[in-house]
Parts: sequence; structure tokens; C-alpha cells
Amino acid sequence: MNYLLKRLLAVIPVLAVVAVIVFLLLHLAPGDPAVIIGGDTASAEDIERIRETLGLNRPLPEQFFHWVGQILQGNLGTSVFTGMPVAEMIMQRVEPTLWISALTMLFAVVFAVPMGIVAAWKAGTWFDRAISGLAVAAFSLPVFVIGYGLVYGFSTRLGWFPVQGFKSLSDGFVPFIRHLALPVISGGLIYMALLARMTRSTMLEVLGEDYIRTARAKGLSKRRLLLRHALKNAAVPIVTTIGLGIAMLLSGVIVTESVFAIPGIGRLTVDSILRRDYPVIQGIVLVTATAYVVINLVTDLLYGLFDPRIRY
Amino acid sequence: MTTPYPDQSPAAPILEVEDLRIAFVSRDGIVRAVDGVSWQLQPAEMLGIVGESGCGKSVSAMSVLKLLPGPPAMYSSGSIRFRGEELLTASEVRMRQLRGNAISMIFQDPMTSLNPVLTIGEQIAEVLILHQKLSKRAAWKRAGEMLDLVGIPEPNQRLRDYPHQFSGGMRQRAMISLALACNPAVLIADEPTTALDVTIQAQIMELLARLRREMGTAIVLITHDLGVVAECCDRVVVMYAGSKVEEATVDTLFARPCHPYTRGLLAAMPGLDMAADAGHRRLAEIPGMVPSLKQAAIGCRFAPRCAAAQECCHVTIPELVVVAREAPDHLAACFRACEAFRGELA
Amino acid sequence: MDTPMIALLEQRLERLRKQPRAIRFAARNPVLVAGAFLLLGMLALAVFAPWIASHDPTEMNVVERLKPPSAEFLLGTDALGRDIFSRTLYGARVSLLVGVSVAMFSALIGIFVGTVAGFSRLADKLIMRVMDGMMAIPGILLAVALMTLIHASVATVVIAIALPEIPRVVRLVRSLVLTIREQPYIQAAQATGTRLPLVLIRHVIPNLMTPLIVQASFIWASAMIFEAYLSFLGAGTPPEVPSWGNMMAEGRSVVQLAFGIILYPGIALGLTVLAVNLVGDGLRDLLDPRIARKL
Repeated sequence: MNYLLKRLLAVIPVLAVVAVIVFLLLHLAPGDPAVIIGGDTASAEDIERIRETLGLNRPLPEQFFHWVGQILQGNLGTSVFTGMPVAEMIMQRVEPTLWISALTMLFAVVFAVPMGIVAAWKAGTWFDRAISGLAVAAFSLPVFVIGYGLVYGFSTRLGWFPVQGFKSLSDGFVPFIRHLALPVISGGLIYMALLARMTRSTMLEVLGEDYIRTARAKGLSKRRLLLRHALKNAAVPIVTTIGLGIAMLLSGVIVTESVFAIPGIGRLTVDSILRRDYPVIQGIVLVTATAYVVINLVTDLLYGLFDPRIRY
Repeated sequence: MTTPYPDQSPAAPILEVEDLRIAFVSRDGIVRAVDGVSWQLQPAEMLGIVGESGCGKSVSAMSVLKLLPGPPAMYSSGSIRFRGEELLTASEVRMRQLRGNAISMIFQDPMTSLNPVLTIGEQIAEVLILHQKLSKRAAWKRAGEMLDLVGIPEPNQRLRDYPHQFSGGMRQRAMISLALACNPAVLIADEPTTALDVTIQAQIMELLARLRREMGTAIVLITHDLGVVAECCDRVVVMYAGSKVEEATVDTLFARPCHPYTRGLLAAMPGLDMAADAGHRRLAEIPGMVPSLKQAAIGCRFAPRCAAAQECCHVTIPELVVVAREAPDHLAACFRACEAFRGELA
Repeated sequence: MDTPMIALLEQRLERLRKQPRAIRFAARNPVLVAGAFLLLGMLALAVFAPWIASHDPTEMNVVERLKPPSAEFLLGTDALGRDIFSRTLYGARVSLLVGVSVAMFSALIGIFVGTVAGFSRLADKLIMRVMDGMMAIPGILLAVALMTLIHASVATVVIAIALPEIPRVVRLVRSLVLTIREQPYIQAAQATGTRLPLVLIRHVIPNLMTPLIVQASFIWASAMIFEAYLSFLGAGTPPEVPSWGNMMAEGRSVVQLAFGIILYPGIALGLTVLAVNLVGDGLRDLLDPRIARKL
């Protein structure tokens, strides 16, 4: 219980640092942020209005604590473009992004971990080389090139999947999956490559351990050796990678949404970039960073399931 | 018990290693880790294999169970027979039937040799379920008995513990109970006490000696500690640079070592008499280093370090010969073994 | 005496030993050599772009819009009638420049901050907290946030991409410094009165170089992809810069008509990133397999 509490409390400074970073970016950026956000066409009144919305007229510490106080009450600020509360804008867009992220994670874990295990088992064979080669290739291609490639092949040419868009689960399961299949694959490949590589190298490391030699000396089959003796030992680093890779996954999802015109957080980001709507971007950064921290907290707590030496 | 072995007369050796050669192949060259080694193990016997690290003693022991990783290790020739059955050409499936069942092994470091994420009970029961086809319940019961046998108090509670909850000595006891769970005919103990405290070492060796008496298991004890050999073993094989240089019963070897390397090892051993006149005698050392095994041997591998070396030692490989008519089971691979046996060598 | 099998192997090894050193090196490090050749090829294309290109990369020609590949326009033209082949060549310059600059910039900052963290307990706590916070923000969002606040140029893009890479370098440098500072020779140098800055320059920094070069090459590779992401999201280099990212971002609106506008710069980018990744992998294997775990 002590560990649990400690781990929960450790989340606070991380999020505090995230808040300070997004706050300081606005104020440390060279030039007057209000002028930059206003853009070339903004009039003097526009800029004054932006300054007012962002609270730029007050002294820095006061601004910061006021801002943090608002966040803690769930108020992420107001968009300088639409005038809507940022929290509301994000909530409207969160559903597709949640679905893509969750399915991408599921897809990547389900394929990557077995692939990594088999690659480690058959280290040095053509299968292992093929997996490693595919992983390097996935690391080398931008998500949107993969995305457009899939669209060109499977949608434009073969017509198996819709070119773009998003259907909610309430519109039926089949349309929902058909719309999400290509985004999930294109956004998930790099995360999958990361996981497969990590699983392989961790498994190889574990397979070199003394207790694996003991297990072999007991006459166990290769399958039991891998799945019972090696995998459980490799689980902690693999789960860690799943958690840490979330940042990479989210980056991929944001770009993928643009490719498939999915009205999620990624699209909101692109729209806000065009409008130089910093409060919205700030809100998105805070929300994704919180999601990242929470997911990693959960993976940390999962360690105890795999390693008896960790006790809470 | 179901052990489908071919019929064997009781006098026959249970394990025979004959002219075994093992090479490790890499781009940098071929290391002849084991270079033509033969030995035999009689039922219920304890055989010691002694030598410096890197002399091939562990490699030859691992090779009995074919546990060496497939490349780079390569068996280039020879024969390993268990109850007359050839193991070098045996299938992986057959080897798995034998491992942990008819032939078991315990390793040097008990801290790393047990799986940290499985309980002691799971690890012992696993081997019983696999080989003896016991039910889970029966396997756990038997596992508890095994822990009791190796002297772990409250065995049935300790079965639920993980290795990190055991001390080093207790882990090695658990390793031994794991290895002996299926009542194997042969136990290969690879430096079982090296990683332990001195007091624990003696306890573990006592335990092995007792279990050998009670269960009739033949044991191959691999060690660099001649003291341990003197206390427990029946016979000794001395290895140097991948070859067997001397073999004899324990008493003979300690009384009349014939190979200069064995003599060096014995001289380097702190004896009881040392304590008596401490400060007067220094431990002897063997000058020079173990030769590289990347080149094929031309002469005796030990010749560069040997005080008694003659010209022929550098150009001809000495054959393993019986040192004297009166000691027919005392073998040494040295041109001057007979002189040494008769005490004519300084 | 050797068995026939060993003798045969020995002969074969002997034959391998007689091969020229370059061939032996290539045979042992195929990944590194392949990556290096590919990267050299891309560098050559970037350097000699003015001589290879058939057109001015910024010259618009409304009559020749969205032309398929032909003898005049090797890879066709884009929506403004610019030659895709020439633009792709010039794009290599921007991409490679951004990649190398990001790698060097984040490495320099990382060495400085990481060394401070490694030597000062007090600063360490603060620095690592800040780094944890930075790592919690998906890199693309951190870069986007910065780019919405500053004027877009190649230099600001470099800074925006380098920012999220810095924590990874800091962590690597710090963990290495913590190991190195316990080494006897560092303690000996300090004990004999060598001043800390001198100890750092003479003993610590050189020991950081090997793992850092490997990591810098991976940052280089990912920075080129990030450059494309930023342009694609509309937060990258100004649109008039012929970068691969900008080309692909512009191709988005006409992707159904002319897939090539995205495909060709995409292939060029993919090959270049692949080359750098291969060099990184190869270097890592060549220099020290143990550091693989830390990256």
C-alpha cells in the first residue's frame, strides 16, 4: 500500500512540470505571443482581445497560479478562435481518438509480442531477419506515407475499405471497424515495430540466463521454456515498453487522423495550428500528457503480477 | 517407474564418454574446448573432474545432456553412451526424456539458477509432472518430501516461497532436490559449492554424499577444488587444456600424482600441515598461463609450463598410459609418468 | 590432432582470413556498410542537386500542372506545375540539414545538462523531474506547441524537433556519467587535484562519445520524419521551402489524382531515414553490443 501511495504521489510533480512547460512556452517564446497568435491580419483590437483571453496583462506568477487553479477546476481555458471552452472542444473530439488509440494498442500488442517471441526463438533465421527488417522499415517511413499507401492500395484500387471518415460504434460494428482498420494499421506499425524489437531483445537476454539452462536441464520442451519460464521474466520490460511507447503511439494517431479525415484530437490539433489557437493546443498537451502518465502508472502497478520480487 | 532402458549387466559403466571432441567455432578461429577426452562412470560412483577454469571440464559435463548452444558449439567426434545408448546422435525428443529424469544436473550459482518468478514448489513439481506423470497434487506432495530430504525446515510452507526468499545455501539445496526429484541414475554437479560460503560448502557436499548413499545416484562432480575431491570422490580425472592428463582413484592420486600438472595442483593446495608451520612454507604456483586452444596441439599442452619437460614433449603428444604394472587403473598422459610414479622425478 | 571436420573448417577460416580487410569488414558489418553506402548516395544527391536537377525547384508552370512522369518531368509535376524530381532532389538538402542539426543540437544540450545532472546531486533531482515531465508530452505535440508560438523557419523547426529529443539524451548521458565517475581513473584524477572541468573534458566526455554517436544517429533519423510530420500538420518549415514534408503536405489535397506527389518524396525520405537507421544499428553493433540496452 505504501508503494501504491508513493507511486500515486509521484504523478503530481510530473504533471506539475508539464503544466510549467506549456505555461512557460507561451511566455518564453521570443516576441509578443499575442501578436504571433493573432497572425499578420490581426488588428490592434484583436491582439488586445487575445491578450485579455490569455490573461497576458497580469504579472507572471499571478497568471500561472490563476491558470493552474482554473485547470484544477477542470477549466482548460477558452479558445481564442471559437470562444468555446477548450475542455468542451476536446471532449467533443475525444471519442474517435480513444478508439483508434485503444485498438492500435490492442492490434500492436497482439501481433508484436508473439512476433518478438518467435523471432527470439528462431534468432538468426530468415523469420527473425524478416521481422527485424520490417521493424527497421516501419521506423523509417512516416505514418502518413504508410497511411496513403494503404488507402491507395486497399481503398482506391481494391475498394475494400472506405477512403476516410469515422463511424461511431452506435452506427454498427461493421462500419465502425471498416473505417478504423486502415488508420489502426498505419498508425500501429511503428508502435508494433518498437514492441516486437523490444520483445525479441528482452527474450534473447532472458534466454541466456542461468535459470533457462536449468529449465532445459529439466527436460522441458522449447514451447514450455519460452512461454512459462522466459516470457514471465521478460514481461516487466515488455509491459514497460508498452507504457512508454504510448507517447509514440499518440504521435502516430494524431498524424493518422489527418490522413483519414477522422474528427478526433489530431484533427483538432491541425485546425488549432492553422488558427494559431494556442489555448487549445495547450489543453491537448495537458490532456495527452495526463493520459500518458496515468497509463504508465497502471503499467507500473502491473509489474507485481509478473514479478514476485515487487511487492506493494 | 517407467524407464525403458536396454538391458545392461550390473558391472557395466552407466555413463561412458569416449574420445569426445567439442569445438567452438567463430570467425576468430576454432577453439578446441574438449580435445579427445574419455572417462567412465560406474553405478553409484562419485567421479571428480578437476582442472583450472577453461580446461573444458564444464563443457564436457554440459555436453552429456547436450545443453551446449548449437552453433557455436560443435561436436566433432566421439561418443557419449548412457546405459549403452548413444547420446550424441540421439534426437532432441529422446534427450528431453532423459534430462532431469535419468540424468540431472546442478549448477554453480544457485542465486541465478532458479527461476525468480516461479515458486520453488512450481519448479520442483514441474519436473515430476513432466517425467513421472504425477498429478499436480501428488507432485506437490513429492516436492515437499524432496525439500524435507535435502534438509529444508517446514518444507510444505517453503514450497510456496520464491527463490529470492531463500538463502544461497538453501537455494542450492532446493536445486539438488529439483535435480534428484525423479531419482536419476546420474547427477552431474558443476561446481556446486563454488559460489557458496565455506561453511555452507561443507554442508552441501555432505548432503550430496548422503544422498548418493541413500539413493544410489552416480555423481560426476566437476570442481577446481582438490580438497572437495579428496573428501568425497572415489575416482578423479584431471583435465588440462581440453585433455585428460591423469586419472586414478582418489587415494592413489593424492599419494602418487604422476602428471606434472597434477603435482602442481597439489602443491598449490593449502594443506593441513600449512597451518602448523604457517609462514615457513609458501604455496607453490604453476608458472605460465593456460595455452590458447585455437591452434591444434603439436606437443604436450603443458610442456611450456612444465619444469620436467624434455625435447620430445614439445613435438609429440604424449599418449595416456598406465603408469605402472602394479597400478593398472592409474593413467597419465606424460612421457615421464613412470619416473614420477617411482618417485624418481624431483 | 584434428578430426577431418575441424581441419576442413580451419581451412575455410584460413581462406576468409586471406581476404582483403575491406571485404572482411563488409562481411562482418553488412548493415553498417549498406547503410553507409545508401547514405552517401543520398548525400551526393543533395550536394549535387543543382547539377542533377532538370528544373528550378520553385519554378511554377501552370500549364504543366499534375503531369504524369515524362521525359521532361521525370517524376511528373505537382499542383503548381513544379518538377517533382527536382524538388525531391532539393528536398534532400532540407531534410538532411534538419536531421543533422537536430542531432547535433540535442546532443550538445544533452551532454551539458546530463553531465551537470551526473555530477551534482542537487541539480540532478530538479533536472530529472523536468525531463520526466518533458517525456510525458508526445514529442509531436511539444514541437507543435512551440511552433504555434514562434515564426516558422528552418532554424525554429530544428529547435522545435530537438526539444522533445533532449530528455532521452540527458538520461543516457546522466546514466553514463554516473557509471564513469565511479571509475578509479576519474577518482584518481580528482584525488590528484585535477579540477573538475578538466576532468570532464579529458576523461568523461570522450567516454560518452561512443554511445552518444549511436544515439545521435537515431535522433537524426527520427528528426527527418518529425520534420515531415510538422509540415504535414501545418506547423513545419514555411511552405516556400522545398522540403519533403512540404511536398507531401501539398500533395494531400490531390492525393486521389496524383499519388506520386506524396509517393516519391515519401520514398526518398524513407530511404534516407532507413540509411541513417541502418548506420545507427550497424554502429551500435560494431562499437559495443552492451550499450544496445541503454538505447
